[in-house]
Amino acid sequence: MLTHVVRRSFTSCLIRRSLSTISSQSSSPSPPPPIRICVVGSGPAGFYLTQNLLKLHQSLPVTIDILEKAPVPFGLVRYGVAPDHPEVKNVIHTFTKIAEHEHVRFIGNIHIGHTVRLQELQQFYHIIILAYGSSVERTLNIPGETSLENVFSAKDFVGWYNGVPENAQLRPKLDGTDCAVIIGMGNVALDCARILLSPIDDLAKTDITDQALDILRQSRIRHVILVGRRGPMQVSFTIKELRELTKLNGVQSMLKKEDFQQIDQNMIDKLERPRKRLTELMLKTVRTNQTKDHAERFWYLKFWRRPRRINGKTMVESVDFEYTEPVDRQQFANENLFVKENGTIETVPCGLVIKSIGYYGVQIDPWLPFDKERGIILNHQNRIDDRPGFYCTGWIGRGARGVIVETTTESHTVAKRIMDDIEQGRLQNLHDVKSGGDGLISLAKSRQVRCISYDDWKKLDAHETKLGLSKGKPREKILNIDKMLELTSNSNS
Amino acid sequence: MTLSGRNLEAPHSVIESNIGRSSVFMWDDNILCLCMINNISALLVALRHHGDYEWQDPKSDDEVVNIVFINKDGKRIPIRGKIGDNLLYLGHRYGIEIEGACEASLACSTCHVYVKENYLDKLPEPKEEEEDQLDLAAFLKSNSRLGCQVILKKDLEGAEFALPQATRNYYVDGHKPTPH
Repeated sequence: MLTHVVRRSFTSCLIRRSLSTISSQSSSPSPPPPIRICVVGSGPAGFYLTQNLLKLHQSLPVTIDILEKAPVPFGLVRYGVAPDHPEVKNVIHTFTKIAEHEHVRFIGNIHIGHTVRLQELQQFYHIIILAYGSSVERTLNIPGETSLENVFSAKDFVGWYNGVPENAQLRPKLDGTDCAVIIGMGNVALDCARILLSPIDDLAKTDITDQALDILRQSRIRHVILVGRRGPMQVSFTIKELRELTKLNGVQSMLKKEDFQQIDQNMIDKLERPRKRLTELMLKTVRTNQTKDHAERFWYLKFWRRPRRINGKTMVESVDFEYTEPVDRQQFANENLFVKENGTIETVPCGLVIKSIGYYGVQIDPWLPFDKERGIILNHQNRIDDRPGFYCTGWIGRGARGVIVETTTESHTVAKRIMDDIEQGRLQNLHDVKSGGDGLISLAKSRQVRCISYDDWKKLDAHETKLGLSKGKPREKILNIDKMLELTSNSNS
Repeated sequence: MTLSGRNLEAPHSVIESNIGRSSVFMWDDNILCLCMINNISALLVALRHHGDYEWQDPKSDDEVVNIVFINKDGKRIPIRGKIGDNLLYLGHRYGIEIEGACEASLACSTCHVYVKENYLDKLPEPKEEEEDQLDLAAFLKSNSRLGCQVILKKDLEGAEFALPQATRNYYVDGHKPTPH
């Protein structure tokens, strides 16, 4: 959080720093060079860390540059959060205040590990924090997954309706089938289900792309089946999202009593609160079995099924699932339940498959110590192994799980650790003069890359907002990178 | 209909609020332009959501409600609020380290506070949506509430609100999965 009045008082610490600097020349203290900090990634992890660094660094001269691969900031807040969850995007107001802070500079359209190598950043910055998230989807590695049409990762499907440029050409075919299968039972799976099931008029008022709206308008999908490898006590989605789905206009929940038979009051009483309330909501949904008048669309949960094969000629026609069961029946309610397959196969006919089974991060540079298996940077308490001056925060350091509260909480801790390292003298080169963003932007320019400033983004932002206004939407996202860059370079009316 | 006489250019941002069927367009931090607002109470709610109200001092002692924030280090910060103040925005005014990512729209749990026991039942029962978000809060206790849902009134005089501990170890192995 930034209060309306930001207090900055450098004087006392400027003097303290200059006196502590071993200087052979001057008797009059000259201002010490600012500590240059660079945050790679402009999603919540990057912005919240910057906010907390600013608070802790009120006594030290510091500049913080937030780097971003895309021409636009905010990461998943722009490209991941569902269009019908605008309140979740309110954080953008906080981020804007941070980006416009005197000592913060947003530098967009710069791909670290590509245009500029990770090690090269050390020329310009004393401290580098990687906060670039987890952008690769987990795969099933089953036949038909990559060869058949209309089989998508949730990452691509979400990217498509949220206007991610590289997904603009996805073109899911929604008018050739009435049944979609979503593999996975997390919140992203529910997001995809909701987008497929929501009344189109409700979606038309959100910032979902016009392109997606056009395709959804033609959709014949009436049944959405979410399939999970384990049981009802292992679902990963949370109660708000489930509740939302049960209340969706014109949509009926079709949960099966048999799936929940094993859950008794004794089992429920032993659960922690979040799991307890979630399970109780599912049970209530089964029990009341509200048959909605005029329900035209339906959603289902299928448990204990592991996908084995996707079938079809050129487009998906069905998915083969193998039944699973608990290795130990006593563990039915355990969140970390192990299951084994039992050989029985069920074929589920469908015309669209979305795989929503999680994400992991990429190693943006070979020089970066990385756990390829888990998809995270090798680090201890956010300090990257064997790379003094380098830190990580957010999903890339701890795995692709958690909502905004995990990120805000973590950012306090990471900022403190960095501050600690500065004060305990664990960072060697802090007295060096480094050019920060000026140097980086020059280097990028010499490599034919034009960096985007926050003011540039605001031009694009105003354009998207104005376009959306005329359609009753919060914004109409531009889908083409070149067009985005063009709109950030001159003031269009 | 505008609150000021200003000429209006394209809105800076649009917040789709939960206020009935109204939309609130924000031109800048301090000017609200209201289109399709159903009634005045929705307008007042919109102002409160924005945090301007909490920046106004109490007009008289009758309005005053004194409360205490206890921050993560245990430091007590007494604050002179007033009837109708939203605890989250009051905290922001006085630099309390209470986040409010979703801006009081019950879409996050970053304004989680612990309410001093004997004041807990002075607060109205939490809405279902608040309980849903509390499910995701860290270190949940029986006296947990979301700060953005606490509106000051006279019988909260002397109430204390503690911020949860920020320190938490992040384990990648063996950690209970958290949703996203």
